[in-house]
Amino acid sequence: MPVYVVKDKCDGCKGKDEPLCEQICIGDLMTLNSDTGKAYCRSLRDCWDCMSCTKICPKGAIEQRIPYQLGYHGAKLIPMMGTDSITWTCVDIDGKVERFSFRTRNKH
Amino acid sequence: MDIELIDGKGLKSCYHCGKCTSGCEVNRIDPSFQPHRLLQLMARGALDELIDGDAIWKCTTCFTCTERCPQGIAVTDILWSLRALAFRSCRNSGLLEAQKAALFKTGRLYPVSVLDHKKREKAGLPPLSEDSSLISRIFDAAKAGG
Amino acid sequence: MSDIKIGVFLCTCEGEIEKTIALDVLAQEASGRAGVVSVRKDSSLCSERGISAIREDIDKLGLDRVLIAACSPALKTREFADLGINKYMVERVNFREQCSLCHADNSEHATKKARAMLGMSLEKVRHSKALEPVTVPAVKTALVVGGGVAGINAALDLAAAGAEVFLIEKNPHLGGKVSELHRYYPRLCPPSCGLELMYSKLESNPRIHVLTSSEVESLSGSPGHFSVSIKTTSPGTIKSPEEYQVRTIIAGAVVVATGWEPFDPRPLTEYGYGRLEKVITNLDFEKSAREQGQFLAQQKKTAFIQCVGSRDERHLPYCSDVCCMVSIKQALLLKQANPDNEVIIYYNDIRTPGEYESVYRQARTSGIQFVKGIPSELRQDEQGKISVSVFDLMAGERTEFAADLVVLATGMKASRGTTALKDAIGLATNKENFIESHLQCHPQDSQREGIFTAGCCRAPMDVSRSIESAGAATAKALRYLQGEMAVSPDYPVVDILKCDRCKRCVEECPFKAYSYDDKGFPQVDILKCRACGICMGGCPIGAISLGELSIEQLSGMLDVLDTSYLGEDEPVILGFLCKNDAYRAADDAGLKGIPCPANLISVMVPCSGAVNGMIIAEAISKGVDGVLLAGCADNQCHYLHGSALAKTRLADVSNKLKEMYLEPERLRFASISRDDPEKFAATVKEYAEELKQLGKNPLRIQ
Repeated sequence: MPVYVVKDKCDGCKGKDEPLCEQICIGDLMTLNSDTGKAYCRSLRDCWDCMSCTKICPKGAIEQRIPYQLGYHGAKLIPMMGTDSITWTCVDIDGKVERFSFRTRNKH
Repeated sequence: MDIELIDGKGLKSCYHCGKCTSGCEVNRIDPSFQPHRLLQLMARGALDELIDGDAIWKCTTCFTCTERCPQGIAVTDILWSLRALAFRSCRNSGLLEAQKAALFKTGRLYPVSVLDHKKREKAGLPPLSEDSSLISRIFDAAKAGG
Repeated sequence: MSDIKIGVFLCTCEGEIEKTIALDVLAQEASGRAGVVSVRKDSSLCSERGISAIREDIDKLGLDRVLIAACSPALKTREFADLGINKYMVERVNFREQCSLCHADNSEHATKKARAMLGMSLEKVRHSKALEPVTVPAVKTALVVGGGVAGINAALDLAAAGAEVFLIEKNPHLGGKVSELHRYYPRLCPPSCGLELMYSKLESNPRIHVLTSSEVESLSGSPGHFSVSIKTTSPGTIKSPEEYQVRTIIAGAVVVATGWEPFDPRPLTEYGYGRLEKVITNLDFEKSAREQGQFLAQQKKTAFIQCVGSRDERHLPYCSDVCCMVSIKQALLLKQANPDNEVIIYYNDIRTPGEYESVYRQARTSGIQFVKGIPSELRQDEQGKISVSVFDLMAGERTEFAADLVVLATGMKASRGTTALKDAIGLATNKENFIESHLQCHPQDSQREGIFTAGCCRAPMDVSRSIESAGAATAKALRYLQGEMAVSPDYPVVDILKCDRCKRCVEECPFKAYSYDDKGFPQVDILKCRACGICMGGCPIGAISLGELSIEQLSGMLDVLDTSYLGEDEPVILGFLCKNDAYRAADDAGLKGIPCPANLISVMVPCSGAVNGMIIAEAISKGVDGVLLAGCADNQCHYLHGSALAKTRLADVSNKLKEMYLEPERLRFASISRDDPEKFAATVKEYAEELKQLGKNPLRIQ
């Protein structure tokens, strides 16, 4: 499920040297395009779909492309971050919406 | 007839300094032409009175008022747009009729005067020709659709 | 958590609160809660008797934190200030203004809401920390930049208050623009009289060190302890380029008094300044009057033109405040020198407020002519006089005047010294380059804590106001010059373990209180911080918490909030109300008896900008039907851009809700000003209605 950066929402993390998605990407794939000032994935085929970037983006500018094996075009997987929880919205190809909330255990 | 259409919000920022009339070349010669007064009437919404009269046709569009207005009001453009309004509403102006007649007859809006001869002589310029025979030929050709 | 000992105190407010809220029921429920050691109901907790009862309980039962459910936390602060327990361990619950009073028409709902409020506050107080104020050493030295009349007076005032003062001036001499003037208004007295007195006071005061030919190179450090580098240029000889000496001084506070510069009317070519010899400015007039004894008597026919380049969209859009009085003063001097001198002042508006009105009258009755109408241009006539042709708006006709001298009243601009200083030490200025902060409430402030402004560097003003502003700046600066400063401990703390160094907090802080440590992590200068919480609101990781309100507390409060506290069919709105405006308006609604639906439960935040997007998201996730952020209007936010940021963050979460097929209308921002309780009540009512139509939050069922 490679990522897609919505250009209108991405602010390049205010033009700082390492945007948040770059900092968190485990595969070292997300980075800032210095010409456009927006983030992008350097190698989509190497993306492991961990969605860390999607979760951390403060502007919600990153979306997942769901491959056909999992859900095809209409399908969406959207996380909404709380401080101690994540709420996932899953939309299948028929447009049916389901939401799941989970506690996160990442308190220090 | 909306003031907003003619001049956005510029007219409302007028703070009555009178600089436009002070610098108006027409006002020097014809004291009845007072741009500041026309703008104030317009701001009060008295558009009908303005487009009916002769006043708006006296502006020579020298742009001195617009140049110097501290509030950046496009005085000339406003007066010009009043002319457009008057024209569209088919308002008659004695002055405009006189100017049109003069234009068709002599090619000039105003007749050549003694003052013009004197000024040109002082500046070392040749006198203006008052031969208007060419003029009627130009207008005739234009009317024939050439 | 087993060592937490919470004491719950419920006030009936002489029976008032109990009329609407069933306090006994809540008391019963509270006593069973984790950590609650005692519950006491009292008719008047703020009375002497009530306070001693609280103190006794704290003492006898060993309570380490206390919940006081009574009136608004904004009221009775003095009474509840000293309970024998750290004040940050006292949590006030607003049972009166924001519950019993505004829901007086529905006692059932009021009690239900009070139950929810109590639950949230219990959770909040469980995580409270006993913060202690921090004392920071400060030096008793002040720096005054600029040796004009404002700077000199600031230096004298500061020294009189006990501080050591460094007064630096970039020119080789003191006195600024005032030393170039011939006479002051309104009394037409010479500036030299006042200046001489000031100079002798400066000299005789051992606490004041005057450094001329000196400028600020750079400034670092914090209020109470600024480190300023000053460069002194000694007048160089032709052989060697400027020699200079750099020294560093430590100052507790800085007063900026870098003055003004006259506007040069050359761009208004129609007036011929610089081309026509007889066209001068007000300041030129002063110099000539001072330097040439016969100048005033000789001007037989003088014209003053007001507002040259001022109130002008193409040059200085603002009014420089003093020019009307300056021209009137100069006109009076001309008349005084020779009553036969003819003087005309061409004006647009005459601005002579207060007692200066009598000077204006005196000018008119002394024969000075005032013509309303601004000349469009000046021409030199054949006799060499300046021909002023103007349309006299009052007479309704053109009038001509052949003047010997034309004086253009030009305005004041920010000085080059101000711009240079602004660049050197990073001060904020307005569009016109005057140093400015929140003009209405804090005219003496710059946007940097510990740095104040005096005189014309802030805005055009006359001598009396300059001196006054110097006194005001001194008063503000004294706080930093006492040898030590107590800093309130509610400043933000960054959790470095979580921090990603995204730098948002550093960028968004309106007071530039953040800097980077040697590893690139943000650190806050608690002396510059104003605890607005905008950093807490903007951190994408939620790594920043204020001392008094943490992300953990907010998250915990959301956990315990029963999102059906009013029943299955009533929506629940979580309101984050800004402390200065919206929260007080909500209180007022209660005090004024304006009925309000009980659907909104409020959390007080320092600024609407302190609300983190993740908390908003979490509220929706945990089933709240609507979130309301209520703060000041954009241009009125006490923390400059707090409310603007709040709106942005809200919009971001709204976008996310839209993607999730949830209604973005579940989030709303409202500008509620302090004195608009009606708007607050109306907003809550309207929002509750809308949410009822919208239906329950689909996430509420969990």
